[in-house]
Amino acid sequence: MTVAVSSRTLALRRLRRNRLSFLGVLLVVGIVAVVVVGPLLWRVDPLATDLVHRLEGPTAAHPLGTDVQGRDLLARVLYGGRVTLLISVVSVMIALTVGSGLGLVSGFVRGWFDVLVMRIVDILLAFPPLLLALVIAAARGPGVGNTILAVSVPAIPRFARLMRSQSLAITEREYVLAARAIGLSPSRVLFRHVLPNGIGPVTVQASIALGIAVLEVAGLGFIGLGVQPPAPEWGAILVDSRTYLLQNPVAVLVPGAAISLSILGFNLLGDALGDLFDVGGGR
Amino acid sequence: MTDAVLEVRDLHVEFATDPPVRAVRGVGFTLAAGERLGIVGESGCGKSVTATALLGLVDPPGRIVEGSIRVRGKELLSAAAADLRAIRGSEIAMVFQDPMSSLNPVARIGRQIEDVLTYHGWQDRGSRRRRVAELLRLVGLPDPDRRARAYPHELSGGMRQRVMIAMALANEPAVLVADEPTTALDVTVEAQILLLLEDLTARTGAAIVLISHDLRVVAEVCDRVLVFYAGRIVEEGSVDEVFARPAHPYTRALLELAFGRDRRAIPGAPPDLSSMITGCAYAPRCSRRIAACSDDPVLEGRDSHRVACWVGAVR
Amino acid sequence: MKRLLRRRLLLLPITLLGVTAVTFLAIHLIPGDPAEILAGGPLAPPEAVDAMRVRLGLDQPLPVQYITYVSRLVHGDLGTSLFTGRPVATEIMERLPTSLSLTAAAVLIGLPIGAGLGVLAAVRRDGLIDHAARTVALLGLSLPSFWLALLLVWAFSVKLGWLPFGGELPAFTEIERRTGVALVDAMLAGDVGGFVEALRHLALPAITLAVIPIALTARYARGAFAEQLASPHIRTARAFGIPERVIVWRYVARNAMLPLVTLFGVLLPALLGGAVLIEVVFSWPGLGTYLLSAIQGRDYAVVQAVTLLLAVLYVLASLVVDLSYGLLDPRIRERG
Repeated sequence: MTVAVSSRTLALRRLRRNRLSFLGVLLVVGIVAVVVVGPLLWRVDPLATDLVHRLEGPTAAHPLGTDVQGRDLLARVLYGGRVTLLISVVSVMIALTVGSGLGLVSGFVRGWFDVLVMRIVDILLAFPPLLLALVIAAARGPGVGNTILAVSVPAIPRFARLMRSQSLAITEREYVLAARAIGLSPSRVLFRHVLPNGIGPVTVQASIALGIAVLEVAGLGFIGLGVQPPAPEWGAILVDSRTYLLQNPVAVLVPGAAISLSILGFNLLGDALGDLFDVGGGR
Repeated sequence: MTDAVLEVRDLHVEFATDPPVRAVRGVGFTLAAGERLGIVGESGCGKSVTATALLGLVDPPGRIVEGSIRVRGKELLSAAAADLRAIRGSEIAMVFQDPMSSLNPVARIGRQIEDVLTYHGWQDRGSRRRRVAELLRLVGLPDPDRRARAYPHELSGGMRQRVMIAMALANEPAVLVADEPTTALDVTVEAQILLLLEDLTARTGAAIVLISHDLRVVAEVCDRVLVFYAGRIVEEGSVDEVFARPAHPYTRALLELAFGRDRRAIPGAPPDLSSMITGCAYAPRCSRRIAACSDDPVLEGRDSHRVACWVGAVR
Repeated sequence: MKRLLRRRLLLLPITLLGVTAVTFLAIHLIPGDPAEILAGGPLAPPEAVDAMRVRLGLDQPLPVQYITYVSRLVHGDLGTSLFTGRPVATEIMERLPTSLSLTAAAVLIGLPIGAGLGVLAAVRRDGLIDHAARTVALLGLSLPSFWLALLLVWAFSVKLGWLPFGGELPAFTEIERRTGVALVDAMLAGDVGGFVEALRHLALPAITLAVIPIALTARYARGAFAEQLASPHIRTARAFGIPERVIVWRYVARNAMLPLVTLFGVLLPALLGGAVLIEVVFSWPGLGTYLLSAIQGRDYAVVQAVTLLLAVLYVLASLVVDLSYGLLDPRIRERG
């Protein structure tokens, strides 16, 4: 029997996946739009303290209420989103550049360089990513720069592995061999032929890495190793609010939901991009 | 009723794809006890789907939409799940095409044969074990006690198919359906497996339905043959008559392909089974097409030979 | 299999050495002079800084430091806490059982629920349970555990008042300590009230942590079972009248175990990472809180040791996963 899986079932499945993909795109675009535009519309200083109105529940003046110093939580969540997401994006960009670069060259030149890079990658993969981020943050101390370092390093190995396998596979192809044979310089070959082919899978991995990055940035902020108060950051807002769970639960609900929806969005976007580029997905 | 062990009437199988494909379009035949029936046709003509349908087992999204299948008088298509289960593997059994993927890769073959006994009423473990050894010996596997402990991947393709046959014959079914049982095997092994099938069905009295794209295999093993085209029977009869005096142009073309000097494939392609077919489905490819071919032909002739064709009558 | 085993075992020391190199070098990630910082910052007297340098071995050349570090590790010496002055190994052993009890509870809750959800989802594709399972998997992998912990605390402790949170036992409760796990110790002591209290304290952190195994197991089980259910040998089993329950629970389950084993490779790092933050939220006296208080107190010997321990656990677990893959699949068992 060779009648393949019914095309209708396939179509249904694709449709459902599309719905989820759509949700992913919607979440990511929506959240980015809110944190970019939000502070422009809600022009309240997220750092301004007001000791008279401390720990208030939602009011018209403070839709999400205020924190222990009387700062407006809506403004903090909006600005905090900028901080959390920007750090995540920058971290992933760095990991992507370093990791893909290493992998690309490894697969292309092979030899001892490849062996060395891959052993380092293996060793870094021996640490649970969150633990590695914790340790780096612990050693370097809190702050934005160190958070970026702590989040980007654990993400490097996966990009390196991915790009190396792409690079290995593609450099064997005839057109690349031909390009080398006619004397194109190795760097030309790399950028013209090898790099473009790896873009699909790397984009998928980047989306997945963004989800993990948001989790790590917020996690580090939550345990006091990330962005430092009074600067707003979703994880840091959460840990500020947790002590006052009884007085204003909204202050715990909203930043946590923002973190969750961002991660969900990036996960769904990763699946969607995986379908688009026809990559099995990194998970 | 006479001694018919299998009666199929007006069988229709449809795949709920988009657009839906009707792979089997009104097939009917009977099988007498101990009879050996061959089903031939190009790939995609509905013969394999019919084979699985005989056990009520069409893979989703396929579905038997119409018809009747009776095994020893018991209707399968309206049977309760439990009754259907009890019939499969005991009264009607199947040998699949690829014995590698069709056997459980992580279970010892002895266990797999034993399961077929266990769930069809063999309660005593000792007698099951003895039966497994007996079956393995029967299908020609030496040292059955050792073989029973082997995993499928440890056996050759031919041995795996012997195991499959042992499973199929475990409960001495009245009907054995074999779907391209030798297609995945070497030519030399093929001959041995065919001999084994002939020999064992003769011994146990099982009737056999042998599906094959290879007319020589059918000629060697079977008494009677059905020629399938586009989900229908276009010619049926005793192997002697059909092969000596084929009435349908399609049968002729197939025979020419298998035995003749002209080994070129039949020009054209089978019709699209997702559409309605009016008239003779073979007409667009037929060199002897006439005006009448736009009407549905019916199977006509005598008991030993029938054809559905406006041009080639049974002589 | 033997060859596979040999290759994996040969690679193990190399990976472990690499892991020790990372934890060793971590101390050099500290900006500035670690000895000065650990001695109390720029205001520390120079003699104290020098003493600290000698104590940490930082006066030696780097390779010598590393060799000393590794040879101490080999002898089970994980260093001394800068604060308590006690051997880190001893302190870890006091904390490890508590952490393991939490992880074990989470796995015991999560694995059956996740597997059940996943299998039912695969058997009834596109049904209600299938949708539920996929939603649970998606959410479980997207909700940060520390937030989920806060939500559960808010709901079950603050609002409903059903379950306590914070620590293993109510404050000032004394139980004779034997294993270090309150639940087990209470049972051994025959203290029914203590046992119930310990169980109640375990409930929220364990449920929070269980979300990870539930989500991952459901996802893996669904995939593995669905793939197996569609395979030709399952059709064979149906054709031979093997009952459906036998097909699902024996034929499919055994084959689906293979991909499911890799689940543990994914599950473990997720649990190790998640447990740290959950322990912090629930003040669970395990390795996570130990690590975190060490981080906050700049007790680098402790940070180094705990990180190393967790990484080594993870490496060993991946090895076990790879090897059990071979044990479960007769095809790999003989070939490799």
